[in-house]
Amino acid sequence: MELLTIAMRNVFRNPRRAALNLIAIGIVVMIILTMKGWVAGFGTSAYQTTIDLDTAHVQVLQKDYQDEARRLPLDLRIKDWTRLRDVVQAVPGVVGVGARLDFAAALSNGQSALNVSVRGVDPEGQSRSNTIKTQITSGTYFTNDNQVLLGSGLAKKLSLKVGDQVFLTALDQYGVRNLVDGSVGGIFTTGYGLFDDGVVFLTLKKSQDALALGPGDATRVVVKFADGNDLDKDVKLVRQALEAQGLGTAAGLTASSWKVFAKSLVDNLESRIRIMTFLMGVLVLLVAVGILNSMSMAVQERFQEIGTLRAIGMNRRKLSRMFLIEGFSLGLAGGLAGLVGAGLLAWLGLTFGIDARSFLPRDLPIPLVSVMHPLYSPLDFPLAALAAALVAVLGSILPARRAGRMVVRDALGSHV
Amino acid sequence: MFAKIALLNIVKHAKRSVVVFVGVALAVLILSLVGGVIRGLTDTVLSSIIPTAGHIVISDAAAKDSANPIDLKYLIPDAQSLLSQLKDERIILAEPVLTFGALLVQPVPTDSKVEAKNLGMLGQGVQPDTKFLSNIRQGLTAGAFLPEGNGIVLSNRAAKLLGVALGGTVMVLTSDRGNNPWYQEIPIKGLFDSGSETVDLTTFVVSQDTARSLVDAEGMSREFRFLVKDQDSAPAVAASLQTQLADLGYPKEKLRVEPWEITFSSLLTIVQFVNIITFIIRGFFVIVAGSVITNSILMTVFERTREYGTLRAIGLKKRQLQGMILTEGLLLGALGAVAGLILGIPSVLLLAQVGIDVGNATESLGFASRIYPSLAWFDVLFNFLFGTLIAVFASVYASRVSSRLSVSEMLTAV
Repeated sequence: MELLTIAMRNVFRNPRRAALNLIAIGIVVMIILTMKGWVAGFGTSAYQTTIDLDTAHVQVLQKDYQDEARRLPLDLRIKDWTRLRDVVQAVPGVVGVGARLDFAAALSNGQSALNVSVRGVDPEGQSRSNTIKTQITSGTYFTNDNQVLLGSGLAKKLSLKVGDQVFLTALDQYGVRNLVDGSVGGIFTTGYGLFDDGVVFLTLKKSQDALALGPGDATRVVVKFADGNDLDKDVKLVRQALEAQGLGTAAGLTASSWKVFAKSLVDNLESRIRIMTFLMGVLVLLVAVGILNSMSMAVQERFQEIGTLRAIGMNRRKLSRMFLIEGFSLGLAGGLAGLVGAGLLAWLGLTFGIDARSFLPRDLPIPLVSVMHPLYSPLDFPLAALAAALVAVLGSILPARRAGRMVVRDALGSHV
Repeated sequence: MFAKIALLNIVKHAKRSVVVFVGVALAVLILSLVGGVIRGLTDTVLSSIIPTAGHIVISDAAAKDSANPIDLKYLIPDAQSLLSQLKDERIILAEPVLTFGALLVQPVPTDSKVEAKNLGMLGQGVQPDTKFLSNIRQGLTAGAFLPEGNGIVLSNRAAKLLGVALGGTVMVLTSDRGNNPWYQEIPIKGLFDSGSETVDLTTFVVSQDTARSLVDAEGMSREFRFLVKDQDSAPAVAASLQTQLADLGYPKEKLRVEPWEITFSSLLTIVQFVNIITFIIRGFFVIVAGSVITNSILMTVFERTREYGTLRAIGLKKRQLQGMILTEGLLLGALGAVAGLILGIPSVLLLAQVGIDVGNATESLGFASRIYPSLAWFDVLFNFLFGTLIAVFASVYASRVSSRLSVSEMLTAV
């Protein structure tokens, strides 16, 4: 306790030096916390949107489908999706299983046509594994097979409203161009430009009819878990369930996590994290070097004081510890100062957020559906202050050792 | 004289000097690396866009904001004739291009039980000797680029998906201007890897004549693409072309002339966004480095207060003392900056050769998955000056603080 008191007092003995150290440590803590919060916020938001709107947590497909996904291969389809659904639904933690039939089509209002991505879905499974139903802003979710759900951007481009007749032209599994008609049952707005401007939902049955496929045909089965935090475990459970029923590799099927289907988003975030980590590492190194220098100076200034302390009985170990505690206190004080700045920025971010959609292109393949906020865990702030203190301790090790090795006679007789 | 004294002091107090030196060197290294990556990103964007789409594009004014910009109703009639009437000495290249939507289908015998694979793509109908589409022309891995104006060039990825190969054929299905389905079976003359998965899977190339026959658009083009001598003159040349078109009976409500900054404004917005973020990061870096360096220089100065007092006592003036401290700071800063550049320049040059793999992060925007940082001598000079000035400002502050002490205070300082 006595050591702590002495150390705390010593931190501010040289106010100017202390202030500069506090500025350096405080700014680094503030930057690291703020960036961590925003990267986590962006990642969580973008990932959750992708899961909710598009991929769910796990998908089951033909093992070669993803390699050829760009051509939307109907020849690599699942032939009995209801059996798959029954097997996967029994997996612990699963809250929704839906079938999906992906294909390209031309959507027409009778006057102009647009190329769109179509998702044929089973309405009930879709509503449990996907949030589109909750994002319908006009009309209703599927009430019959004749209905089409389309994005608000698409509806605007083709001047469509609920109740209007639409025509879809697509190549069926035999390469024959088929035309089906329907009516606009609902218009959704997700906020994700690529979705709202380019995706159409049909019922699975309607899609199967349009593509001359059987009632068991789908291109993928999507699986939503109640808590998707342990993806590896979820994928493993689904795979085990499939293998147990002979529906796994023997049947040419595979289960994959959603990250396989959102590679550009995942790569985007991971490359940002790598770059940030590198830059933060350099900043921390810079601060550690600064602390080393500062504490060395502190030791040098107090040669005589050190000599006096040793002469009156303080042993080497205690003396070294005193300087380490001083470094710890300096780092902690700087960390706490940084928390003030980080706290203010966090409050601003959590209160107002940033609506990146207002200045980023609409067709960016990153789901920014709403105002973004940073994301912090309760431990982030105290851990950041503690980490700052530990980095300062690291920088103080060499000077503390030097102080501990001083010979009393030399220290007492020195003139700095 | 000050320089000599400063150098001697730097050597004498090496331990203190090292901290300033390392602080400046690290700051300059980071500024060099981050600057190199940002410049590389900008260059990658420009090198992806300009050789493909040109500095200026002329197209139907109604197309861009329409529901379907590649609708065949937005074609320019008598394209070659109109293009030949547009003149400006700043233009070095002008070509008509016909882009159109198509479905590429694997040819299979009619009685085959094999389902034909197909892929929706965008066709680029160009002159066989086009100077555009350099990412495709330079990415050719087999065959040739539209030899004698014939055939189709597609990516290796697309060919693999469709199950076709060089020397074989592929069916190209389109709808013509009357919305009637049409197809041609075209020999595959070349295969490419553009470096971008998005481009590879969405683009194929045929001659303009082939494109016109596919969509029944004799003499028509989708757009005119231009390259100018100086990229920065694109807006002025665009304005000149707009005036010429108006004089020829094509006001801007009919044909729009866009410089590349407008055509690709969304991509440039992303680059600007990244620039702003990195500017903020660099700013914080400078503050932290400045703080550490200032602290070190202050300590160095205060350590030698008695020494300075002795010098003042034997006649050195306050101004001269400040000059001496400043010179030392300047030297340390310059040496540290040089060290930072000695580490930073080779690092940027090495990364410029091997690139930084950002995975699918940029591919989805149409660029390659690797960014190649680049070095500009302006950046080198800027970083050198920046590193030096950090130390100089810190020294100014330190010299002012120390010069407030009187000679007797300096001599009796601990």
